[in-house]
Amino acid sequence: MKHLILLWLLLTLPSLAAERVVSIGGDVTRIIYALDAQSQLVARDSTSLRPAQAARLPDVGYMRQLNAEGILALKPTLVLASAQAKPSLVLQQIARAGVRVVTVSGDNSLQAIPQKIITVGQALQRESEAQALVQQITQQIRQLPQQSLPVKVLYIMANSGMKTMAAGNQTAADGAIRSAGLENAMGSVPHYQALSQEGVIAAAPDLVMIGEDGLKTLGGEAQLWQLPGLALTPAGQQHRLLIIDTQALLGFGLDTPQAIMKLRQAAESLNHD
Amino acid sequence: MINGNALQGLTLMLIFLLVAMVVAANLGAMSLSVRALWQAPLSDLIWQIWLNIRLPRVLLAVAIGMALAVSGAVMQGVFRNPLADPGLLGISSGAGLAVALAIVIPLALPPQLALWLPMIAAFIGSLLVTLLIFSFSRLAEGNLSRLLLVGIAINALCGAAVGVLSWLSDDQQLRQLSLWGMGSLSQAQWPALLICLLLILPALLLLQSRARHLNLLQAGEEDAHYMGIDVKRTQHQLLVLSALLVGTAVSVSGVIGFVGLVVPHVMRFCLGSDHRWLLPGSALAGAILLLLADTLARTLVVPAEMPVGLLTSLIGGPWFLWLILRQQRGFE
Amino acid sequence: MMEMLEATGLCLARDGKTVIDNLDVTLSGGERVALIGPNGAGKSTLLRLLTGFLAPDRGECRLGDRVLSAWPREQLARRRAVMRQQNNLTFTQSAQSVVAMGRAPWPEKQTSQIVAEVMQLTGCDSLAYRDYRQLSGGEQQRVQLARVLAQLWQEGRPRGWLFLDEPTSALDLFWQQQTLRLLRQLTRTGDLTVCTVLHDLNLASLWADRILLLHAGRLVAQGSPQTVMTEKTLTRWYQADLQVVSQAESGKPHIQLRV
Repeated sequence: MKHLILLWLLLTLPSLAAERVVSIGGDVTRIIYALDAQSQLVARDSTSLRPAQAARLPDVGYMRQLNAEGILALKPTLVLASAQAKPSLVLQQIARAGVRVVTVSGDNSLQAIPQKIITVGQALQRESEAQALVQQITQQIRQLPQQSLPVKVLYIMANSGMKTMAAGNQTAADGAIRSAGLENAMGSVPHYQALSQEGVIAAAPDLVMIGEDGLKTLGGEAQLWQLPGLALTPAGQQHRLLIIDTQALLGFGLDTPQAIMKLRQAAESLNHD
Repeated sequence: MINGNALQGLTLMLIFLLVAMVVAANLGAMSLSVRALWQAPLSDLIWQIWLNIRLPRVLLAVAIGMALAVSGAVMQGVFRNPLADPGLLGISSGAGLAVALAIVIPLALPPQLALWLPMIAAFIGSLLVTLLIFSFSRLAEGNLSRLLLVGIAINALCGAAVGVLSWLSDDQQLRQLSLWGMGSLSQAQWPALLICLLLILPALLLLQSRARHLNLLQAGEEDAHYMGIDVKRTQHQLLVLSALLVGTAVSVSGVIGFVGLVVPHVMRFCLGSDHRWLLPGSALAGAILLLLADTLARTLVVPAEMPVGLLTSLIGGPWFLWLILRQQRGFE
Repeated sequence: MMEMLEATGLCLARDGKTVIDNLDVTLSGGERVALIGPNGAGKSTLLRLLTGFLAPDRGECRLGDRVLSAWPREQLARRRAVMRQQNNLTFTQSAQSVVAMGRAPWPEKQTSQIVAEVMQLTGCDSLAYRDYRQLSGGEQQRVQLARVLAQLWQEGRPRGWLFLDEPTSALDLFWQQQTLRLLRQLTRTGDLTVCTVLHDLNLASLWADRILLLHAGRLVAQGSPQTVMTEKTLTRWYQADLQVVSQAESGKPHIQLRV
């Protein structure tokens, strides 16, 4: 009997009862913590690893391999899902079971970040906190230099078990580089391409960018410069490397504006050499 | 001739399957025992969840397990090769390619359609490959070994094409594609389940009616001909029905390996080679295996789930090895 | 009175080569026919044409009043059975179930009874429950013979047309004798015709009442063993150094190879 009442309360009086929120998408989770609403979080997906406390919550799996029953077993009242998790039959099933499912849409651009914050804020009824955060982020975005700098950046992705690749256009890395007002050295090719000696030399990057994990996979900076053709590029000759926080720079979440600023500053310092 | 032992074995398996279904319906991420259901009124939320999420999933596991196992048994019988499996003719590869295309190529579709896109794409992919194979085989006088070669070629081509698409895709799409290749029953919903049953059940029944013919094919094409079978037509019918089973299964659940190869094999040890018993036996054993694997898949890492294809291999592999070691005489 | 099997003007070519060249032959009920000839003469191919597995490029083969291709499959299967030289099974099966396969064209009802009868007749009842693939070559041949006899079994004995390709090749002397005696006995009623390819000329001579000698796709000689198996004929077509004597007991020709 008690069980039924509680269930009824949870479903019919959300404003009175505590929200139980499941967050799907690393950027969404990050925003929830930034809005100080983490007390309502009951679970997160496998890509939500920031901040570190989030990793302690139950993991509902990869955003495109969800389990309806698993999520419903947590008795959620609200599911905040990144647009990358859609379309999803499982999310539809969950919505049909009476749970509120809110999509947090946004593309790989700086402009999308404030929108994401507002959506999450509205869903969690933290509009004032959200506004404050939006202000903060917009400020950070405005501080990014507007003029473009003729510095060519090459982003290298090295995952274990796969070939080392460079980011072309239509990638998050490309978006980040252009948001910093810089040039993508491999910008003429689509998606990710394997590094070819001639291609890299022709691209002539001034700065090489790689994530911490990627550098670890390669085995260190020395091994990085031994990749095909890199040694003969301006970046390679002067060992101009920027190690980045991949999730921060490429996730287009809260940490992105600052990460882009760091990238811009690294590029600007090159010119002074 | 009624084989008393086989009949006993089948009855036992049927009972085991029914028990397994009840147990599986009881288990899950949510604590929803059948007893709790019984006591709750029909309008209750837990009935909703049980009827719309758990029940279809249990039934889907049974249906797909049956489809894959019987398809494997038929392939092994038609090609007279214990290593044949449902993917031999390239149907799952074709489905995989269609799904890869659907994932990687951005299509602006109405939201309802976008939901079902991978399933529809996979089904179309299977159909196209089936048509391709059978038009090739008509050109090549329906020779079985030619058919096999066409299947190998299709597997290779589709694999290469998927490789190209993977190369062109981003991390997200890549992950989604590889997960599809490991299989999952999380798409179990009544519309998909009903269409599945509509296609699978008649195919299973038709194949059972052809069991005697399949037995005769074991003597070889020429001898089967002398004993009165229209060999080419029978082979075509069997292969088309098998393709239908695989295509349907793969469309709804992605690629679930192992069931189609190992279950018929094991059933042959236990029930003998008479397809009148082997086909139903494989169906029951396939259903039991997949039900078991899926129940584990959705309860081991709650609230997430494991790809069911991994579990069928993890369960089936050691079981298979054990049976091989137990076998006194030479292997088939 | 059995129908007749008439082949007229049979021609078959494979890869541009003529395999069967304008062949006419008629077989009647109750006959024991042996098909002999050197390697490559086309014996197995002729068998396949006479049984309907292959269709001739020209000419036709009639069983009774109809051309073979006009016979409904099941009806034809009840009327003629073929035992080939090689029979491979991939999967384990009992010898009994192999024999039972022969009853495919018939309704299920009397299968077990007939299978038991036929296996006893051919002396393989002791092999019934053994795995066919584990049997010796000779045992497998006896099981195959049981299968084809079961296929033609009607009211207590086999009736119709039985075609065999080297049915004794793996059998020892005892079983060769048993098999050939059995086949002779079964044809005595006039309801069964047996046409068999035999490599062993002496067995053919002793057993058959008609010999068909094939060479390069042509029927170059036919008739009783005494007529066909002369030193002159055999030496010409086999191109081997032979001596033919008349066997003391039976008066049939006995072929001896000069080494």
